[in-house]
Amino acid sequence: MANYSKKSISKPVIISAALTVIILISVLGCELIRTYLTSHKNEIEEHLAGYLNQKVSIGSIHYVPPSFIILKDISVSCANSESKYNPIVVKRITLIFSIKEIIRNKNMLISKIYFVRPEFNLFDHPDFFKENVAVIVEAIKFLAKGRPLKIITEDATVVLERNATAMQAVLANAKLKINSDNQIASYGTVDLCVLSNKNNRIQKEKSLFDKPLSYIFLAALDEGDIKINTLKFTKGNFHAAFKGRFRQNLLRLKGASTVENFYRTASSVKRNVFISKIRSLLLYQRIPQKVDVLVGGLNIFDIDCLVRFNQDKIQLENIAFYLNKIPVRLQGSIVWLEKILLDLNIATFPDQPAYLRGNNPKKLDAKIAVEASQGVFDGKFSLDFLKTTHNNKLAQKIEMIVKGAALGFLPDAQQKLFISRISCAYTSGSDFHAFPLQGMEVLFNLIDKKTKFLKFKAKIYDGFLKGHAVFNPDNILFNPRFEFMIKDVSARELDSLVFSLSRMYQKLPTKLGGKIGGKFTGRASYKSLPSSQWTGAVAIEDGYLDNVQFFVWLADFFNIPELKRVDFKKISSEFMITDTITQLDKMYLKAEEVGLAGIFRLENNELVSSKLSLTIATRLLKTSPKFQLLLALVDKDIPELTFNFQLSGVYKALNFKWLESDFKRKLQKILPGFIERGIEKKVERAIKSIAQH
Amino acid sequence: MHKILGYIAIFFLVFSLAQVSYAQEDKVLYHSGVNAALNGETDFAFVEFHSLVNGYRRSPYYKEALFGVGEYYYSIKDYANAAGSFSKFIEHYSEAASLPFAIAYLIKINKLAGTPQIIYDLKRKLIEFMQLSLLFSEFKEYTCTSALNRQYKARYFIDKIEIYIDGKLFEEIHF
Repeated sequence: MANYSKKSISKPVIISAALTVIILISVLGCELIRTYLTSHKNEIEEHLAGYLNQKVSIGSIHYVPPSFIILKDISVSCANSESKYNPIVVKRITLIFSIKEIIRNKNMLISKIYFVRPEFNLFDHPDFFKENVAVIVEAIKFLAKGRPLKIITEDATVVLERNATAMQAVLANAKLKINSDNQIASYGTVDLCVLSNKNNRIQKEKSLFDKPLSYIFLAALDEGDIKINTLKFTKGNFHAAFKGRFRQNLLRLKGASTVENFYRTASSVKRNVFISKIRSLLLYQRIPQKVDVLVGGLNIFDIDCLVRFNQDKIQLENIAFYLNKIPVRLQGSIVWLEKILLDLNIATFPDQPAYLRGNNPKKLDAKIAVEASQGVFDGKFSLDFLKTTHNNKLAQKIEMIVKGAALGFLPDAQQKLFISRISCAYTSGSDFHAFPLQGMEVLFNLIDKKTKFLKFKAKIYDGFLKGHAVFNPDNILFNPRFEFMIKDVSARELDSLVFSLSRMYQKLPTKLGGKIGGKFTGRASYKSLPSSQWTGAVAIEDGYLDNVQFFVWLADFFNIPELKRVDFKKISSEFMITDTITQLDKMYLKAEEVGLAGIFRLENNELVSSKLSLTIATRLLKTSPKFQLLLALVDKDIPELTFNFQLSGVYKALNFKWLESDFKRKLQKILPGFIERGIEKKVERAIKSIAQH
Repeated sequence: MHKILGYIAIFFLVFSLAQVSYAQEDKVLYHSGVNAALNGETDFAFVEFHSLVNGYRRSPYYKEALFGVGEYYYSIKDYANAAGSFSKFIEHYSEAASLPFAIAYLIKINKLAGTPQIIYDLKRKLIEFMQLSLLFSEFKEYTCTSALNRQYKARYFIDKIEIYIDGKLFEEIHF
């Protein structure tokens, strides 16, 4: 019994002792590993630094049994950079390795890598990333060693702009799985948002989109090639799907994309929230299975993409697609040297024979060239198209040259675009007109609520331009609205500006030709819903009208040469331009001896409706032999005479009526009928003569 | 040689006689139609004008006859044929004295058909027909009599046109 009890006691003791030893060994082992890792932290840093050719710093290294190694506060610094931010900073990396592999083959094989909050300062260190992308890819291959590997990134950020408290960044959450049979699968989300940095903690403040962009990437490594079986993107009503292959340095993708209900009407956008919620509860959620060509959607199909990747250059050899039945081709390159050079050419109907394309009103040629260096870029944009009016086709070109543009990040997530100089030019046929803007500032906040708002101001000639624009990306074609004012610009400078507008609208007067002087002030606002509409007002103070057509005609008709040049105190008008009418309201001219007031309305079919009131001083009228007699018949002492007219009919052959006035009534009383008719015939001839000009 | 000259002379003689006969026939048809209209026999007048329009395209009476055919079709509410006749009329005779009235008929027909774009273009043609200068008068008046013996009157105001047929307001066009 005693032996038995001795035996039965000794067994648990032995087990306990064994366990204690094992635990002690484990703890000791852990402590040894931790001590080893800590003591060799510098060696690990140096090893990694040698691998990346850059300084690597690790805050701390921990071993967590059984198979976790945790690295905290890792940063890779760039020796040649002036930026105070390191190219790569990672909050935490967890490496999970296989114990079985260590025991069996004495080989430390990483099976899973978990990155928490890696931060890439791509734009501060473009050269670093250019030089080390291949190294990072090789490192992943090395870690996988042909075995399954999972890489998970949580809240990875590519920083676009930052200040002391916040940054604007691309935020990505992704999972990548590489199987032993060379199959690659990755899925995740990408978002553009503002992140705040409060108490050393990064928090997501605002997002540019309602939902992040989701992607799925399925590929296979095939004898050095990457065969892309599926590449899908989804965000709200946007879907895109591609297939392709990456061979050596050449990427070929084919696919399609669509934005469902892109052309929603304004009324359909305004949904009843309550009913929508009920409906969403009752109806099953449709999961898009494939990209379809949708009526009422924005469809991009037959995408054929051929891109060549070189060390310093991404060559867009050919990106061809159909945008809602319109064939489009995009070609160009992105060069990544000391400066970033972007060169893009976009053309619609690129394969159409020249003789057909030259007359195709849907033909467009756009060119974009951008040169960026240290956050400042110069750019040149041009757009060639055909304008069809009254069965005529006229080649048009809009060009914009931007110099010294820089994007800054302000507090409250606001961004500021400063452009040192912009030259805007418009060519219509053989006519070329341009106007410059200097010191342009654009303040905007794209990461805000649904409605986006931007403010702008610039110097234009000797005056300035100031305004704001509002648009809503969720609404039909962005529903843009904007307002601006131009102040204190010399009117003679505005010839080209007015010409540019007149070419766009085909309605405004084009023959100013330096005939107007004075200081110009104007304001204009634009809205696109329910239909396109411009409204505003213009005024010129202390200027002159020199040989302006209407006053030349008046001077000839009344035989008063002084009317050919009118020095005025103020000329002003309100205006409205829509798709169907151009209207000048409250027209007003005040000169010492001439006054003009009235309205003028021109419809799309060139029908005019106008009422004008012309006041001419008696002194001026007396200089006319025609009026001397008439004035003698009425009242010699009145200081001025007012003529009220009504104009109507077709713009090029206007009807004219002299409206009732005291002067007219007095004349009618005095003049016999045959003289009235004689005068009327003379006026008729004069009116016809002005119509012919 | 003399024979040949003789044949040529006979040919020209026959040809000119045929021309005279042609000129006579269309004239007879036209005046016969006008007389029938004066007697209130518009159906007979239409038959004559219709024969003229179908057989004598180059006749100096063709224009008046074509307008008369359109008038008749309109009076019996055959709007399709009336529109055909008046459209042909305004297409070929943009300077004709009765052009405003042919346009007025077409505007009326297109109002019935509900084709606003065509009305829009016709309205412009009607306005373009006369350029006004009204110094002491309120309107300019314009009259003519058709082959069917209808009295037409157009009053051009500064912002409207009134069309009268036989003294009754037929159409008012504002602009």
